Amino acid sequence: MGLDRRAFLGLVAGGAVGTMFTPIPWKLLDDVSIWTQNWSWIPRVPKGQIDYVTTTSKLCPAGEGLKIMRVAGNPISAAGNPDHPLSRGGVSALARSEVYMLYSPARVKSPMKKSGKGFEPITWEQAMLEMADKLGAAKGAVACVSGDGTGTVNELLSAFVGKLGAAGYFMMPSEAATAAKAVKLMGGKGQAGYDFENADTVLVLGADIFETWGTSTRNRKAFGDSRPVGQKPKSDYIYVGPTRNNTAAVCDQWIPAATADLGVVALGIAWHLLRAGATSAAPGFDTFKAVVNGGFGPEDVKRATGIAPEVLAGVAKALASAKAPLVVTGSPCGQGLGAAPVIAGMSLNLLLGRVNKPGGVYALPELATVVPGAMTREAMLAGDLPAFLKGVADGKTPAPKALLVYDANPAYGLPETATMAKALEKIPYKVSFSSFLDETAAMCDLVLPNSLTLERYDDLATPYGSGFCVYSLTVPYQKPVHDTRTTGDVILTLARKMSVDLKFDNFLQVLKEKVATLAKASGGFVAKDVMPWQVAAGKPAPALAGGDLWKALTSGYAWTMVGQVQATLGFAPEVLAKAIKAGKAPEKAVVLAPYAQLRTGTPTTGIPCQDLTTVPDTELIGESTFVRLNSATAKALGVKKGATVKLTAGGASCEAKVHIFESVMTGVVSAPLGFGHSAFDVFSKGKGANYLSLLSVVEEPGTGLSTWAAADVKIA
Amino acid sequence: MEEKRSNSAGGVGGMVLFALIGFVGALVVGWVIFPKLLYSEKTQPIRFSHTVHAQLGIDCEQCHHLGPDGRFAGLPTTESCAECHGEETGDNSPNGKEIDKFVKDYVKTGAQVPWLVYQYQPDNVFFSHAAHKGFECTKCHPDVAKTDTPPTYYQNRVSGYSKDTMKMWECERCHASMGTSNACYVCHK
Amino acid sequence: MSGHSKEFPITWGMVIDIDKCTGCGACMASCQTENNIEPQPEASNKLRSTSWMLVYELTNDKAFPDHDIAFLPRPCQQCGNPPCVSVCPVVATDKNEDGGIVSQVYPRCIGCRYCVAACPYHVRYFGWYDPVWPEGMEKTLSPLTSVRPRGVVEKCSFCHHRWNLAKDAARASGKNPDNLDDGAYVTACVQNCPSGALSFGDLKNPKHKVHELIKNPNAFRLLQRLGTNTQVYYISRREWVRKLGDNYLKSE
Repeated sequence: MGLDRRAFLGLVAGGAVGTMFTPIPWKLLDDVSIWTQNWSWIPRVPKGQIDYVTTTSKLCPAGEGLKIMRVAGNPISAAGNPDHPLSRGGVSALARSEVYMLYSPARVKSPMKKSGKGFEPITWEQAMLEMADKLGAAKGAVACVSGDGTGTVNELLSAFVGKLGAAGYFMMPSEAATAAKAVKLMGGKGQAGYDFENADTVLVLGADIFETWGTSTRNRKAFGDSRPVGQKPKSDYIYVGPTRNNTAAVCDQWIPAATADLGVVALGIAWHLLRAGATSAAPGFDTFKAVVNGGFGPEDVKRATGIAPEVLAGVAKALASAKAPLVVTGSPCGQGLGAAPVIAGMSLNLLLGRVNKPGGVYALPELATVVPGAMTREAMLAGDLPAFLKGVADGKTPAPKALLVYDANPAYGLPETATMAKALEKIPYKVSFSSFLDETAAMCDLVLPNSLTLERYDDLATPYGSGFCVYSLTVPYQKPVHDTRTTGDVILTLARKMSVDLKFDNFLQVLKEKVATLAKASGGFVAKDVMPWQVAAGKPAPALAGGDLWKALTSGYAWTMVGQVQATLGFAPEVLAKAIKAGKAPEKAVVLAPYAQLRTGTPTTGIPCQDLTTVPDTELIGESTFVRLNSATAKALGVKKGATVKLTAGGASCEAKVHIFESVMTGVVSAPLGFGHSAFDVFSKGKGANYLSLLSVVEEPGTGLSTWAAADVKIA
Repeated sequence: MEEKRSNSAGGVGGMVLFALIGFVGALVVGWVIFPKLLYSEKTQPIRFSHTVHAQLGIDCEQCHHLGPDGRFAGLPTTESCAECHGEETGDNSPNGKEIDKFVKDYVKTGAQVPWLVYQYQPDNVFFSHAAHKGFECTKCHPDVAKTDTPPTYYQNRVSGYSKDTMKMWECERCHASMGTSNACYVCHK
Repeated sequence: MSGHSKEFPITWGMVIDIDKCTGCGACMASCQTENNIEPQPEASNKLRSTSWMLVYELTNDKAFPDHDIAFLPRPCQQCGNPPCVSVCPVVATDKNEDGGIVSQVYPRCIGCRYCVAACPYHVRYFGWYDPVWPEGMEKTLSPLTSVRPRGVVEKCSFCHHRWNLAKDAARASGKNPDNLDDGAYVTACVQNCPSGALSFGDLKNPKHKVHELIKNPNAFRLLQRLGTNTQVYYISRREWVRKLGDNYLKSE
């Protein structure tokens, strides 16, 4: 029986019909549809039990306590820790990045040594040998730059550098340094702390308190608490500054004033307070009164700042009639403001009797150092890095033979960026401990990557702005992703190699000793049921329970203390007289007023990759950043919305697109910081311009401090 | 038109015969051969004996439990197995050898055992064990408690899913019969 | 708008106090990682990037110095009468569950984008690219949200998975999963907002704070006149903000 055409057709037809009665077509159709839902290049999500652990953010300057979600023991995401007084459940866009930044493409994956224009990986042992050799040769002229304003690692670094023969220990410029200088000039001691939680009327002079100034997450929690949703606000916030920035946007009043005039405004308000009978027993009051009455009357202030007399009279009245007024002064861009405006602002607190009072300003004591030979924070903050590097660039200051850079990016994060880079180039041997390949690391001879927050033990002691002393720990929850080490440990190993005695074997010991000294300090307690601002307001401080402070701190709680240094703050009128002048209103020049935001990271982090999405297209499009000016300024300059312009100042120039934004005062051009990186990864590199490079460093008369919060700029 | 005659297989009758052969053949292929071809057979990385553990009086919940947050903890981790099996036994029995294999390959290296999950569900499914606590485990899972060798795992060669993965219609049928919502987000994420 | 609003015994809703929002972006950053949205190097192209939560900048359109600004965080408004649902040809999006959250099932979506066009709030995003994470970063993916391939539409789900977790936690502690305490279920943006501008809860549960907040005389909803009956409320003491939210014409 052969198979002819008909039979074959029969077979096929029968087979086809039969197939319909089998699962083949239906099952395959279903399976194929499932197959299309699971492409191999789409990552699968991790599985396993979810748990939460706590630590403290070191990337975010606001110092939030963090609650880390883990799956099967692996960190997944960071949220605010409700038990931590600097977070209370809130978290900045930057602190939120703590987990995924472990895998940032910009991370330095192993120790690296400069080789030609690039780097080659080396082992830790090789790196240590080389460094011991080079630092040994540089003895007597080793400098250090640190960007960590709160860590005990500064004690190790300063003691190490000190014992090698320091050419200087510098902190990156910060609001803390400016305030420290102001307090010192006023004859005070300690770190200024601001009790927002108990304040009811807050005058903010320039400081971007909800973004870059101090403990911004905590500041916002305090602000939010005083404004229950849907109810009448229980607080009054007044912002004085060149733009209605993120802080001013939620304040009850915005008073436009140039950054350079913040001191004048403060003294103008002082005039009204004095007239209403304000007095003070603080040293220098009489001279202060004479200075204010002599040059800061309503008409003087109006002439200099354009602010109508009744506006400042209103502010003075609001402050004087408040139960707990508070005046906060700072730079609209988080750096570069002079000490004089801070003194002027602080003198308002003196006039209002707000020093060391609930809801006022506290002079917070510094926590005791534990590393022998370490510098105090006060001593570290006294260094003036821009002035030093400028001196080096000009050849007026001898260049150090070696420079250690910790958690800092001076090649990007300083004003007159080109000058600073020139100075850095003059230093023959540079080592960076950066976790990311930033602009400074790219210039260094050796990069010894620090482990990130979730990979290392570290600590946070009273960040500037906090209204109380606070200490919390950073605890590692995973093995370093790359071949990185905790810098504290690296320094200790190196010290041993170079026979420098720093007392400790590893960094964990240092931290344990620090915690042990805290446990002995009187007045300290673990913030759990009672928060420090409640103690400031009169609630009795709980005892330091049980004594196992280390355990409490590694469980995410913070040690806190409410207290003040006993020292009399004076008015420093002679400084004010020299530094602040209510001169004539400036000519038609346009002033650059930069602003910074945590969502674009810090100079050491670059833009965290997920945070790039949060940047609006009125700030960045493609490779261009926008500067903001109001329509009157734009008209005067003849520039149009969306036009590409060139900003020139101090021999440097930057490109920008124009965004017309009416909440910038006339004559001011507002520019975002945090862009224009030439290092890091695709999320930061080549995005816009770094407007810090346009700012020139100017010495403030009367204080000698470097300032650069604003600059005259040409726009074409 | 000239009619062409088939000279071999009996004309229309032959066609029907072949159609029948095709039909039956297709049924055989579809019901017998196709399922065998569709699934690849896999064995568990470790021959875990549930009977041995059950005979020791270990409750199912000791290893397969809900976490404090109500989330199912999943299969035990290497660390929890290592609480009992932390060291090699040196025992030459088949069970002893299997324990030593586990200790050597996973406990010592700190790796997790890539257990094959019979009831595997994809990422877009949210399943709450807490919500289904009232049911017997074996309503959905194979009754492994009495197995000395874990059952063979059949993996679909096309979709990559386990043969035992519950299909959406099965979930929906039970939900419907229980009067539970079948809204998308009840189970999808 | 045809059809009528669907009502559910539990109605999850958000109340956003615009007067407290500083526009910092913490809500957006929280959302991106909570919901496995990939990092986007070209995020400045807002037509191609994805952000389920988006902070808009509002202005009163006056010149300096009378100018004023406000920030408006915009999650999915979870309409009671969702325009996106009726246009979906494959029922990939639906409002059919207690809680009133508009669902979006990615494997079912065919990427036709009718819903994107229909949504008056621009909350829907089409995946133009396959999601790619920098090497190793996929280890930080959240287990609670599935990863979407390119070619489908996605949107804010009010972190629905957190509701599931909250219900599980309630079951584990012997509580009623259908009557959660205030705060037992909140979204990632609400949890992390440092200013406390966002509140979340069951609009119909008198024990939840939002139940009272939505009755505030300063509370309003976006484009209320469309009849979408949204579950997201905004509060502002400023009249111009409220008027803008309701999209009044210049002549009104």
